[in-house]
Amino acid sequence: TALVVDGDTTCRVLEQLLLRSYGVQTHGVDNGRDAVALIASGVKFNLIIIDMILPVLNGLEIRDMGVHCKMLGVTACSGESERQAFLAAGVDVFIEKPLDPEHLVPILRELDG
Amino acid sequence: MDGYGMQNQIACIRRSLFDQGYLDEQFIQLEELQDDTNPNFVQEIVTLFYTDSARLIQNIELTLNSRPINFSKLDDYMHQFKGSSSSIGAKKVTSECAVFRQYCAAGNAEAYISSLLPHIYTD
Repeated sequence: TALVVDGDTTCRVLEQLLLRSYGVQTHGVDNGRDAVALIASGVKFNLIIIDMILPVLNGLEIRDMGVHCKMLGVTACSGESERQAFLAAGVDVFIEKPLDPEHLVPILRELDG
Repeated sequence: MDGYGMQNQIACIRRSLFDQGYLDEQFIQLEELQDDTNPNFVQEIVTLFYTDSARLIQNIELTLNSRPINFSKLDDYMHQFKGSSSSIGAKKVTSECAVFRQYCAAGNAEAYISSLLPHIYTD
């Protein structure tokens, strides 16, 4: 299962549908606080896809809130400084939007073991 | 116009949108996600994009009209607009958002708006 955290509805819907096309069950929330709350409630995720800039508790802060599963950071920011900041904040992989199969499939294969 | 003629016209319009650089291969990804379980997916996601974009553009306009201009907020809006436009394959919108963000970073949104004025009347 995967959690998609993106404040933009268009992006969130697209990313969820892309994951579902590969057989991944998904949940979607539009801010980091709801993501942390969902995880704290006991829902288990194998993968979190998260935008860097969110309305509440953004992608740069979520690791500090005790989130441990694999995180894929997706963002419209393309600069090297943003990339380094996102990786330093704890995402395992950084992708500039849009999320595409070329980047997603290897991650799903790795999670599939 | 019969069904075949209309389909042909739609195909021509679609091709011209790619040829003129308005759409890129990400739009094809969207089309590939459409199937029997989601037969109107492309129409729905484009409609969603238009709705979100209208709201974003309104917020951008309000921010541009405020004094002093809140460039941080403006950049956040453009960041979101760039993300959603790139996700549906709206190539030209994505490019313009990237350029506008550079002007925002320099604290000079007015210069970008001024640079657009000739295009508004000729394009």
